[in-house]
Amino acid sequence: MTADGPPDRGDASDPSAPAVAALEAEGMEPAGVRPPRAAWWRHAAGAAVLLAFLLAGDAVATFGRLPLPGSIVGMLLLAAALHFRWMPVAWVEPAAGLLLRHMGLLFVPPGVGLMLQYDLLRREWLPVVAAGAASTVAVLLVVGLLQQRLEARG
Amino acid sequence: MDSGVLGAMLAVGGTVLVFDLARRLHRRLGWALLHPVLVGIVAVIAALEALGVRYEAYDRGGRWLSFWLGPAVVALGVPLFRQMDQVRRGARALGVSLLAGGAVGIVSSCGVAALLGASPEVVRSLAPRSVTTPIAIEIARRAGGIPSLSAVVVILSGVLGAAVGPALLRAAGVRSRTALGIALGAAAHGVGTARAVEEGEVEAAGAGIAIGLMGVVTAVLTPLVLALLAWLGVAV
Repeated sequence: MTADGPPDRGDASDPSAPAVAALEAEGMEPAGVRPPRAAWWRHAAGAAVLLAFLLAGDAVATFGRLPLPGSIVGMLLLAAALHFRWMPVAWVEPAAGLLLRHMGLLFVPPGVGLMLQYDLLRREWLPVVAAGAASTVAVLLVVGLLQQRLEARG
Repeated sequence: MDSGVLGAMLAVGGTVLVFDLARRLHRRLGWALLHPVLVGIVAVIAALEALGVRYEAYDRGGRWLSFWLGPAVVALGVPLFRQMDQVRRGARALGVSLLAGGAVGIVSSCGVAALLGASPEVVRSLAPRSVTTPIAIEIARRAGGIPSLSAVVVILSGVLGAAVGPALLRAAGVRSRTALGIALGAAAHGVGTARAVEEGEVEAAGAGIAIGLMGVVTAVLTPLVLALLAWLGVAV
């Protein structure tokens, strides 16, 4: 549709090109899965494959009554399909790379939904912000340090 | 062309433009707290307030962008596939550290909120803080919280974790790339994962798997921890 489909490509992908170039200039890989410039139809085909896996993930999560959203199940299904070579990675690579490089953009509209919570935030902003911050830092450190220590132990 | 479609296209174009500017600013200055997702959200809110546009009107176009979050999460299957060996090697460690992280996440967010005098409803809404928004909303609903507040806290902590996470973890001595990615996915869900993608493919794969597992762990632990807190007399 927008982030990927052929009609709006100028809108969604052009502004990003300089950004990617800037990252490369800094010697950083912008995303692990950066494809070479691919034809628009390869992006469209990849997007269709990703959407198909999303639908499949939704179906499995709903009918299997899993406590997971369909997108996570779709991610696991896609990794499995690639791992067992049911499908070549080239089919999804251009679209996956495009979406992952610009994933942050996709969080802006839901984040703007903060506008709807002014009243609640005004009343209880301190516990909400303090709890969110404390818990984010705590989980970062616990998971990061514990994971590293356990990995080292093998 | 009717005005609805035109407005939606303006919303999409404006958001893309604002986010691109925010990303350039972030690269130019390199300040962690000026994370483009945070700057983008604040700038779009300011623009909507200035123009007198309501959120519902904006989101008719915004949805064209957020719709792609689902396929983007699916796309994490690609780095996961590429880094399968690396992730598998860390698999046993992953189970242990995410269980611990899940418990710490629920106890710390509910505990701090309760100690600062938040209402019980708000405390319950904070339990699923460290999971991705769609799962958080479901857990909050089941636990008797306010789903939209959970969404707010999830986004706030995602932005915070993405902004300070990598620097904080490196300062704490975390050198393992899988551990860094897993910690970002566990503490800062989707926004943290977008940050992990910037770090590299190993980090992206770790973050993707951590989001999924953290959702399961938190869904299972939330009722248990809330019951424990109630028993201790900390929260209702």
